[in-house]
Amino acid sequence: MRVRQHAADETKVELQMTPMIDVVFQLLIFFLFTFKIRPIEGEIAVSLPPVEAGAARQEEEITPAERVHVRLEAGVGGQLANIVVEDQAIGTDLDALRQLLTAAFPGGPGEDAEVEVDADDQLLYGHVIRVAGVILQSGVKKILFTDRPTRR
Amino acid sequence: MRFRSGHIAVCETEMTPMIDMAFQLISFFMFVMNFSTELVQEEVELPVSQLASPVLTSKEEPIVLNLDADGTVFLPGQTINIADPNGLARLNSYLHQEAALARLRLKARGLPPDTPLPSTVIVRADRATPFELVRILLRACREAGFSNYSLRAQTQPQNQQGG
Repeated sequence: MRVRQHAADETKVELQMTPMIDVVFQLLIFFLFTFKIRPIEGEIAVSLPPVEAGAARQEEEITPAERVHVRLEAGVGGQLANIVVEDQAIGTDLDALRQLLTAAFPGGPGEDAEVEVDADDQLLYGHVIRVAGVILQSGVKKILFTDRPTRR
Repeated sequence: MRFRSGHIAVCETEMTPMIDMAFQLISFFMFVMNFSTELVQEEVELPVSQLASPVLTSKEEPIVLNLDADGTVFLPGQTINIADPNGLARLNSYLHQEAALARLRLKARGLPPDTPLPSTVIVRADRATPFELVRILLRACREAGFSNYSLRAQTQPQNQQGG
């Protein structure tokens, strides 16, 4: 008897755990399903001058020494077939392109150094970005894209 | 003795460690979750370039253009194809609208109207897009008056095979 009375006196306050755990698991499942690892994107920042609609491309006043013309020729299936730096064909050797660009700007490319990328219509964009990465690595800040490929 | 022990033994599961773990997991997933504000089309397979600089800060007034390999551009609320003149016209009208808005914002800040637009056009083009289409897209943006571009690329090639 004594024991039972003692138990009745102890009014136990119990926290209701079940609803909280329910909500916690709901949240957990929501975050699990919406979880997605996205690769970090890189960017190639390009600055292109705006043009008036319909107007011909205006030639800016720059000395030829500061602009290098890089032509990218497309091969079968839009693959990169040939790189022509100014008039020198170097095949698809990106290291050669890097060396030529370094040689084209003695003393390092300055703020005004530009590389004009002239890619064929059929060339896949991935190859253009690969070349643009190499150009940026050589220290050139400005990349231009020509409005239409020059035909040879 | 037998009586007492039979009465008192209450079987309780220890909830505390489990709840601790659950909260740990929730806080982990909350922190790694990125609610990106950019309109990113996941299907576009970006070109790979290890030399692209990682995007650390979000751009001022970004305009995101996702370009698919066949020339499909996903604009807010509409999907157009820039390989066809009708679609290109719609892209132009969208870009001019955005440019007009950007100019209004410049005006509201009291800057002269010939200030270059601060908006950045984020080009997320598929790596298999013929460059002609990218050129058309860039040309349309330049005609609208934008001058800052961010060409997006993957910095790591591990996802190259996937998809």
